[in-house]
Amino acid sequence: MRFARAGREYDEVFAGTGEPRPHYRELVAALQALPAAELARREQLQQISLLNQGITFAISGDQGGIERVFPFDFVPRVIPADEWRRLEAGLVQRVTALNLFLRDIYTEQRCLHEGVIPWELVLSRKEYKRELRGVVPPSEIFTHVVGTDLIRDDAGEYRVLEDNCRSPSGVSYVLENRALLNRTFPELFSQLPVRPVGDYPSLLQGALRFVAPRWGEGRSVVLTPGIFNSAYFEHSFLAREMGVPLVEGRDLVVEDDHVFVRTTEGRRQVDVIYRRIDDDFLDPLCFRRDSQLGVPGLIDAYRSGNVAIANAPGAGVADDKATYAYLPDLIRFYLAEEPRLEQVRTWVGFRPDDFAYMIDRLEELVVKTTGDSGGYGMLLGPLATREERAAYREKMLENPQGYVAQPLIELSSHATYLGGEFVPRRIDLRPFIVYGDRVRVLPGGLTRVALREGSYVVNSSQGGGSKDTWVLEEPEA
Amino acid sequence: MMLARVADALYWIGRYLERAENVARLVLVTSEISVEIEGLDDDVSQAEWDSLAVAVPGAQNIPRDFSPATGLALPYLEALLLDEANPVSVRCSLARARENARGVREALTREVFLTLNEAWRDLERLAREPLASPGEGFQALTRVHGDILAVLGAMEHTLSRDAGWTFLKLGEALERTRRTALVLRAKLPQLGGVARTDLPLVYARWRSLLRSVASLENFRREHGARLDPQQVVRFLLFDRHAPRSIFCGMARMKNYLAQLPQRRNGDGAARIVGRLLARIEFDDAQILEKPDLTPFLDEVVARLADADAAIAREFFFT
Repeated sequence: MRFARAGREYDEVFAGTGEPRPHYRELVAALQALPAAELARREQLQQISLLNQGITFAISGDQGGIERVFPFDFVPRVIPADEWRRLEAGLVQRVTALNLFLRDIYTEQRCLHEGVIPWELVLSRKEYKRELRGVVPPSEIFTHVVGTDLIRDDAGEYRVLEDNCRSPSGVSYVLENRALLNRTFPELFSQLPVRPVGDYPSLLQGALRFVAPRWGEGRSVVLTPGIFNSAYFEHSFLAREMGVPLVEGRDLVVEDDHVFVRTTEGRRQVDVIYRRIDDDFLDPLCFRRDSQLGVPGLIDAYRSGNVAIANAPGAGVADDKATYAYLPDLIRFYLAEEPRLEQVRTWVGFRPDDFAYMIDRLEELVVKTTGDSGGYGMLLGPLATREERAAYREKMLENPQGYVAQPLIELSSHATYLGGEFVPRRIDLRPFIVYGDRVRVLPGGLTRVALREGSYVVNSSQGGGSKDTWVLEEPEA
Repeated sequence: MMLARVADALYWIGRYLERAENVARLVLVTSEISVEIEGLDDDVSQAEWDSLAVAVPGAQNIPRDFSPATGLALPYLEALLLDEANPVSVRCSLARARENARGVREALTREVFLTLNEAWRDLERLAREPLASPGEGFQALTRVHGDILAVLGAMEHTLSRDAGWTFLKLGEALERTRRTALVLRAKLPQLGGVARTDLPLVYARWRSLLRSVASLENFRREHGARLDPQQVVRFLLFDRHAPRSIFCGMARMKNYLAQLPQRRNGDGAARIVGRLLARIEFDDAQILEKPDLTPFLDEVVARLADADAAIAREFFFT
């Protein structure tokens, strides 16, 4: 079986000479050794397995919440040990700074007073919860789990695209992809020293127990919006893997600023809530009054220190697309270190000069709205038509502050098995960073792949799939 | 610790799976006897199909017209196996069991969810095409029945015997006991006048009655191949070992309820079940002495409905 080569973007698998990169040599040889019919057969097996296990997600706006399988590509993405070591150090630095930033803006606001970041950019965001000013969560940890999206540019340099500080999803696929590949392509694993990812549930549980207000008593629960949420599979998966109850808002009740769960034997106190539900829906008494998903009084219980919430309410302001532009400065400010990971150059609509530049160069830029996520509300300037750009420009002029822009990065591409052959498709990487007694990075992550030829959008809601991600063990000294 | 919502869902998974299995088996058994009898006595064949409406209350879209030309079984198969609009069809029961399981997946094992999901997917696939012939329908039915048994097997083998198990099995026991009462309620009046089981046609109907509640082999081991109506009725009501006798079902419910925390005085589920069980255990002669068992069977069904409401009050709305 032949492998097609990438265009001008960085090719993860093959070097410029056409030879596989050293850490892909064994893998490419092993895949080439398998007959075409055998590859097709195993891919079929995987599809059936995914459907039977109900590893599905629902696309928002899809009628009746039709369940779809998140497409899985069996060609694993390999990250050598030294590359990973650098990424890990950069991610730890970033998450440390993000938490210092959150603590600061909810207490002293030094970064605002000293002008590191404009106060309007922080305090005017709806993700900044002024109701929570002065509330510092246990151990000063705001983000117990962060998913940071990384891409590689045409030189192969890793760059942070965004941080997800609210309730990043995808880790269940990291574990399920590994288990699936294990069953269907066992022979690939014997080629390389792949670091396991299966201990994620214990990592997460450790971080949750670490912040339990009643020491040693920590009863944790996973709070889900319910079965119709697109990430419901993951909520249930994590609860099952940690052996803790999966609850909905209606299962919890607040009395006397303590949170209880309704059981068949009456009510039992809850210490830690790993919530997979947005801030605005957490507590109808505090945030959105029409929320049916939340728990009335929950924020009061949190403020009183009787329950820990992971991630902390109000943490979302740290992953704002405009805040992102200031993160290198924030890292220098809080840690007195240079950022270890590159970012993507960002123009912020809030700055008049930047906005003028953005409006002028739409055909070169990727423009995003600060509020949206999941690839919605985005303009890919170089790929858009003249009319699309003109229409988008009109919208931007109405609300300059709502936009940021970045140059179009040629995402790296990776060999992907599609329609019976290996073709290059663009990928990104979302590692998961867990903050408990210290900051740890799961050695692996979700590699998302844009399955459409030439596409830059890897989101599952827009035709993306995923790959297993292999971080290699350090070679023995 | 068991969430009230999870207990509720597990209880109903138990009920829905039992119901799906019961209805699948009833349709299988009825189609077999109707094939056997068709041509001999079409009225009896029709009566056997008609009895399903009583044995499966709430069934809708059940065909009323008997037209030998179209084949008797097919419309019933469609209605009771595949019809999505029929709340007691096997398809509906399986879909609800799976929906519930999706909502409490963390309380189940991988094996249970996998087999249940497969059973549901199999049936959904079948439902996409109309059934071409009764033969195809029977095949499908046999397969679905096997799928359901696989789910029950996965539960038996992998689930922890905790409170969740108790609720699951409590639901199963209640649904099963109710079904035996309903099947007797549906079929005994039809068979009342004809006690001559030496007539082949009558024998076939008593045999079918036993098979409808999966008890033919068990009965034969106990009493031999001759089917004495009195013995059959006594067996299905009072036998101490047959898993589908009303006595056994009530005794199971009593045991499961005893394992749950008792939090309410007054007319709780345990008391409702205990009272009825005591009657069945000690007043058997009195019950059997009546020529018509219908009032007694109706009472069993009514008390089970009371028990169901009491269980919800005590454990699910806390």
